[in-house]
Amino acid sequence: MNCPICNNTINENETFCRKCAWSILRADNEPEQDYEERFKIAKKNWERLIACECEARYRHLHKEHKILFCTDLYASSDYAFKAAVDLARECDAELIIYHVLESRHRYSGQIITADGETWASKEVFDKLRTSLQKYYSAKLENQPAPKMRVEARSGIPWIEIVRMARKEKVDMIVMGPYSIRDPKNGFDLEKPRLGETAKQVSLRAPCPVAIVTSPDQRLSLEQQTSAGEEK
Amino acid sequence: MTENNIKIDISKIREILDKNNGARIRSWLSICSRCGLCAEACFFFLANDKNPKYAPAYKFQRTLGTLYKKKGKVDEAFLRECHDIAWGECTLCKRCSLYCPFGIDIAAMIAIVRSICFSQGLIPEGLARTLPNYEQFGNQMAVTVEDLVETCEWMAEEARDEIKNVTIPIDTSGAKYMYTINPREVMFYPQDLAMAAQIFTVAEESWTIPTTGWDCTNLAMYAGNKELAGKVVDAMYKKALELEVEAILITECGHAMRSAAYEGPYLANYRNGKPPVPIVHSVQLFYEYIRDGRIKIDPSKKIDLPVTYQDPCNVSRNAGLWEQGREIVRAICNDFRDMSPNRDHNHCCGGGGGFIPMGGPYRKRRMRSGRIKAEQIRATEAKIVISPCHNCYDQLNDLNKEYDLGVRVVSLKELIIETMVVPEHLKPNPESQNEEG
Repeated sequence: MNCPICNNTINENETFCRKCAWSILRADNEPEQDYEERFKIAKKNWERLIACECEARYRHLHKEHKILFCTDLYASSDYAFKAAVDLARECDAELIIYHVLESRHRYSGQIITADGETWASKEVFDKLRTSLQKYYSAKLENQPAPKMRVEARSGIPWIEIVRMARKEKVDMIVMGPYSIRDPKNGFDLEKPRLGETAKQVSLRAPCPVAIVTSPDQRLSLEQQTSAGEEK
Repeated sequence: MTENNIKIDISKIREILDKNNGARIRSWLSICSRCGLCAEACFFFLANDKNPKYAPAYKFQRTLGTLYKKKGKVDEAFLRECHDIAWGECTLCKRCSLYCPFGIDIAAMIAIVRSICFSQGLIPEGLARTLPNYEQFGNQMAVTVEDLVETCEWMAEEARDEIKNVTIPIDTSGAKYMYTINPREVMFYPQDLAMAAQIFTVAEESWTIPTTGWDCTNLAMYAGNKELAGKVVDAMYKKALELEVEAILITECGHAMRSAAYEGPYLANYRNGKPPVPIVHSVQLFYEYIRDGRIKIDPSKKIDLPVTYQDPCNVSRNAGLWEQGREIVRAICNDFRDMSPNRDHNHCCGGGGGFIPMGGPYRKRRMRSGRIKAEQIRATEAKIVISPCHNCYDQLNDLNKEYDLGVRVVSLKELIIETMVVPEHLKPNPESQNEEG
């Protein structure tokens, strides 16, 4: 059979995967010898993991941390903002507040803003940066604020977020789970979901990604799960 | 340069009219007998209730014909009408010329009208905005070299998850192909680069992406700015000569082929009308890969869903690659259904000639005239539409939503990746990857 975790081939006479060591827990009927061997493999894997190239890259960067907070311009991402601020404070990191104006057509320079469809001009970005600066600075009044920087670009959100994370070599991306495309059809908190941007960013980012949901969404998720179980 | 403030400079109009006042244009303007065969050929005419104002013969007689008759002494209202016809009612697809008994090249004449409008500062904003980008960055979307190189590195990393040892060579002298791309790939669709890299790696191709002249699109050509269009295409030729490549390879983009292979040499003043370096389109190369067995298709992975093929005007009709495209589709799909009409007689998707980058202001018209293409697709009952052109790709996606076609729009690369056999030695080895990190 193949290992369900790493797809490595497991020989018939073996009880576990020799590559990823499979489970963390010890099965009831597992011989002591197998468990110990598994433990050894897991330890070796971990050594390999922390010695890997990307870790080395981050170690070198540990002097200055960067947290990339991606805002969707709705108050619902404030929970993610709080998490990002806490993290930035905790590890004395620079907080990059970032928004990507979505391109309407994947071909032309037109973007969607609050005022409708327009061309991506310097004025549009300046206006956006100013309002982001104002909105988020106001939240941190009378509090120890981390070093902050506001950035804006246009394009496909997940592409620009990953591109930014790679370029700035950020330590972590913090973002909400999904956004609304059409302000007339707002958030449906009854239906928790993971949007395309969050999905793509978490799969392709060069660093850990924190997806922060609002308490309402967590609650509805619980309700949905229990409703699903009843069926 | 905007559409709002224009000052008519008749001497400039006269200059362009005089420059083009050769036997060709003169005989075309006088020989047209208004037989109307071109009308039925034009998808704008068909999509707009066969309104005679959309007949190609009317369009060029009303604009260029009148300009010559009045010797360029026209007012602003007339020029605005020309602007509207030249960009809003023609995609320069050249289908009408196939039906004209005299073979009049109407698109060439509309292109002159575009040049005249451009000389008066009258061009659609979407195209106008790309021109400074070409001047400053050498590509239409203001992508910096840094962004290009970084995106290539990123995509090479992602592609290595699928295929071992994928690299995207940058500026490699002496490579066989200089792969020129559409900046849309860097900005909005980087996976396209990853897919190209995978295909070239499996085919063991010698290729490189240049850091200048890498944008094979030429919206300056469609904007009527011939001088800049010449510079854009010349930058590509020069880079190819500098890198001493065997040929310039064009990505799955239609008008890039028209610009590089056919109009470019004239725009850049190569008097023999031939590009200094041979131009090869991806469709041709991918066809050769499959024909020669450099890319093998896994019969068990062949696509079972009904598939149709959108002939991009500038790849099929204007570059003659309609059979090559079909051969690839037949190799990777089990149920291929052709549209009708097809091949060199296929209708334009309605997004060509700069229509897509002209953006929102023209969207309504684009969707209306795209009805012909939407009906063609619907009639095939296909579930997948393949188009080796970024422009068609975007237009088909929009049509898909507008007309609720329920199809998946793909490029050739996407399906080749899905169906090709990855040789054993190129399959990623998870063990070693772990060690490399």
